[in-house]
Amino acid sequence: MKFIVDGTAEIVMQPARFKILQLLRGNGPMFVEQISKETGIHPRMVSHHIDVLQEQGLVETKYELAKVEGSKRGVAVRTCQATPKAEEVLKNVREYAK
Amino acid sequence: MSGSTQSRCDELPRFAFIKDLEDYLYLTFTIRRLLLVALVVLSVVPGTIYYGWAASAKWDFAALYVSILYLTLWTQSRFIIRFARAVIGTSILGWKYRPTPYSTPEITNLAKRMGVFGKAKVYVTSNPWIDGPFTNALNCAVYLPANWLEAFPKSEVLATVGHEFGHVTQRRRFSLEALLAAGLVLGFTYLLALHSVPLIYEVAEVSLSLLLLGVVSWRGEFRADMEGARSTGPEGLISVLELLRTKINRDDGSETHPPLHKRIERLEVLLNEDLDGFANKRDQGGDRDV
Repeated sequence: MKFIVDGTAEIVMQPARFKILQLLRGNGPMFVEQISKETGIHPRMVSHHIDVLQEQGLVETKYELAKVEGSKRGVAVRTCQATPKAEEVLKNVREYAK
Repeated sequence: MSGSTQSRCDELPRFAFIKDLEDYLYLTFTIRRLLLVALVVLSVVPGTIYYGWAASAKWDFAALYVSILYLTLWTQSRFIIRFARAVIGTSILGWKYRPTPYSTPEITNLAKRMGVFGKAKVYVTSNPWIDGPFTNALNCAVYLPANWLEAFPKSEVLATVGHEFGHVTQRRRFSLEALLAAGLVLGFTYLLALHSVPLIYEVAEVSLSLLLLGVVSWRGEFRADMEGARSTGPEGLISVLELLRTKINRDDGSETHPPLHKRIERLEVLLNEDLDGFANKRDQGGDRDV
């Protein structure tokens, strides 16, 4: 299995990362705070997992300005999106699990 | 850190029986510890109130004592097998796997930050008998299995090395606690030896040693977690421990390592502490608004 040889599956096997990746695949682009609220994972842990997934090319991120209540200026948020490679890896993991 | 992961030697078919044997002998750590406590407490009886008992009570006690002794020996054999496997596998069976020095700029910076630069050395080994990273306390050498480097991202390997460096920085405190525990065991055995028979006080000595080994080792692991997490951030180590947790059957700790969920809980406190610190800093003027 190619995805095992290149180590990507091991990265995705981490339960929190798997949860985040599935969420991004299902919901499309999301902010770190949104992911944290949806999954119940601490925002710092979400950032860490996003960094790791980005290193592996499974997630793309970009910083954007967003309006937040109580703040006059925009706040920089990190928008995360699953890549096509993530789709492929998740599909392989599911096949492997079967 | 070792002891929590599945050993690669378990994947070797001819050694699969070792894992089966281990599973067969398995009892929860709490029960194993309770058995040791019972043995220590019961070992005090023969030297004190035992002689005043009726003959039938003495026989009942002897039967109970021997039963608990056998059950304890049975359950502790798992730890002894694992320990023997690690020692023999590392030193004798794995002799051909020479560890290779491993260094990256990140590890060098981490060693400098933690004050172990030049003292602690990191090695990578492909020895299949080594099932997780560990530190040799005598020469401050940190060993990482090669498969860990492949399986974990850089930031998490660095967090693991931070934990192992934590063992090096806390080496003196660990030694002091181990010495104190040894003193307690010897003192207890000496007092018991004044009133009891050799077999009984030797059993009590070994039981108390195993109990205190757990206490000292667990404290050492918690301290190493904290030391490493303060230098690298707790995220990497939490992530590694969460992954390891999915690979084990029961998370109730071992004679040398605390349960993973307890370690994760303690590290998660650091996540919030740091965030509070960051929030305070932001309130003082360093905000993230742009």
